Amino acid sequence: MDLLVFLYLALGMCIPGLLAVLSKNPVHAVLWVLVLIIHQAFLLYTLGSEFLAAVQIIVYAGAVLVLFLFVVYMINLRMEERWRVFVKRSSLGLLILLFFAFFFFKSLAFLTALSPHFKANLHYDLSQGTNLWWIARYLFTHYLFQFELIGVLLLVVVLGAVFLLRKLKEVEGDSL
Amino acid sequence: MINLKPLLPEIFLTLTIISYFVYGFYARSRCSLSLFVFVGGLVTLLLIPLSQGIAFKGFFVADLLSQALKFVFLITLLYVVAFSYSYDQIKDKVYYEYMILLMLSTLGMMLVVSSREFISLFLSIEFMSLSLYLLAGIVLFDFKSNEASLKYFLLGSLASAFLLFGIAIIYGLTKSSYFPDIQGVLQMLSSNEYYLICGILALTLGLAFKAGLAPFHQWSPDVYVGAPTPVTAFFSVAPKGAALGAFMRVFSEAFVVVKDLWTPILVVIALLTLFVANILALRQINLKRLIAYSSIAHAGYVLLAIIAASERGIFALVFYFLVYVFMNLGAFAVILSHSEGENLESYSGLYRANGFLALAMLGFLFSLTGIPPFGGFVAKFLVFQSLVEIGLVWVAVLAIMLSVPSIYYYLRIGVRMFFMDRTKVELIVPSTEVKLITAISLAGVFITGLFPSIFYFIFQ
Repeated sequence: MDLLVFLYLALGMCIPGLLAVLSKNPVHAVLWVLVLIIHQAFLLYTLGSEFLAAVQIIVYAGAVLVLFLFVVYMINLRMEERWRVFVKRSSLGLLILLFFAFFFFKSLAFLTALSPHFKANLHYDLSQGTNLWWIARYLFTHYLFQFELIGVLLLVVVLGAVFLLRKLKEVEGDSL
Repeated sequence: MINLKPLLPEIFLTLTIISYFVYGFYARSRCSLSLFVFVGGLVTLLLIPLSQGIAFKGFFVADLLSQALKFVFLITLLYVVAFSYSYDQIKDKVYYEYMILLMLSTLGMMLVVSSREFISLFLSIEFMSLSLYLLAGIVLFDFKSNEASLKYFLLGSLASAFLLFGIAIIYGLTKSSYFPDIQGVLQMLSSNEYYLICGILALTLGLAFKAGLAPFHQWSPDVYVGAPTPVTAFFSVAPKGAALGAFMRVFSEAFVVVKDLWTPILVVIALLTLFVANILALRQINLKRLIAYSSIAHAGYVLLAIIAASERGIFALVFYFLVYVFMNLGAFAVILSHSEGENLESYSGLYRANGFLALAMLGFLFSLTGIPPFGGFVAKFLVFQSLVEIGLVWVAVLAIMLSVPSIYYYLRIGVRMFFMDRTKVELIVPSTEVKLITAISLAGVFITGLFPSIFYFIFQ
């Protein structure tokens, strides 16, 4: 049963992923990504991390994709732009893909052998507290430095957004 | 209680940035804003020697590598603040944002070289890059500047994705993102290196892009030409130092036990970088483009020190950047000293127009080529010494041979300055701060060349 569920979720992520890249209509592509993300959230849920599943739905499906849709509507994209250069180099991309695929299949057996070792050495014990509790605990103690770093990083993001908006305003002021 | 002493410069710079936020509402003149940033940067610079040790469970470290590179970043910041003061393409309207972005990217770079853990390394690299993307497009209505910014952003995001992919693979393999732990796990690993090679390759690709090493260098000439000249000066030194410092820390701390795996990869990248950069620089007539290629070549030399990954290699890297900051930014001071400084033609007969500038430029060019008694010679010498020490003599010999063309493209400018006639004869009178910067850089290049041991005094 577990395997069946996993197989369904894996297919539910692979196929929409491919369709999102291949579909010519940007709105369709965004909607395929939505399907992908919902399956991803379910996969996280089956792995026992209900908090990450909820975050996946709220942040990615709820916020990021809606923003994508907004952008697609605002710049009025009906069809994707096509350049010859991108088509020409597709063989190179295939080569890189094959290269990475080769390495991954080579190391598949090695990774499956490694997984019991991983389970045995987990830092946390889910019977001792909820998922959220462990994440919060690690974020505010062990990874405090990284957490603070994200705080400063957000400062740059806010500043950048304001700066770009100001640029836009100046351009509009000129045209009027 | 967390020991915050190693973070002293970062904390002070963060406080400076936050107070600058408020200060900028009241003072909007160029002079007062520049002065505030200059003083803040200078005090941060002086705090660096006080901050030694590790903090946050070893995730943050202030040692020779990070302290010396932070020193380089802050000197670059001070230089660029001085350059920008009278550079009129950066308008008064954006000057406030410009200064804050300079400070934020410097803070990001300081965190990059201090991180000893993959999550904080990635976050700080993103921190640095986001500020740099904005800096490249700081000129509001310049098409080239906006193009440079967008190009840098798109390609940089792709490189970041590769970097993250590599980090994920390494984490999957070792179940740790902390460099000493990774080293411990890799020591126990005996078989199946395919997965590890995959991770190292993706990681190398990401970092090589950020450092502008061939074959991931194509963005840098376009970005360097598109960005306003003070920003180009900033780009050519500081982010390269940060990316190569991160390179050094990752490979000399996390992956040092699997040295046989990554040495061939890095040797290929280094030699390819030297070849491509030195050949392509030969035909450039735009000085900013020429310096872009020359900075790619210099990153290649520094990568040779990273291949050594030894104590001496770290020392060579740090010394290289200390010299590089003076010689490269000195050359930028000369470029900024007269209008049309980007154009190679404008250097014909510069000696007649302003003797001091021409002589100083010649000094910087000699140093960039690596001719004694200037600092560039000692820096290159240390790099090749560290390479010979680990037995890669053939790489050192090849690298020296590949650096021969650089004499041509650097000294072509020198020949123009002294032996060619000027079409329009007029004296060039640079502003006071440019004169001062040129003199300081010339002194720096001479001192590092004649008394390299002065370096020991600063960092001990």
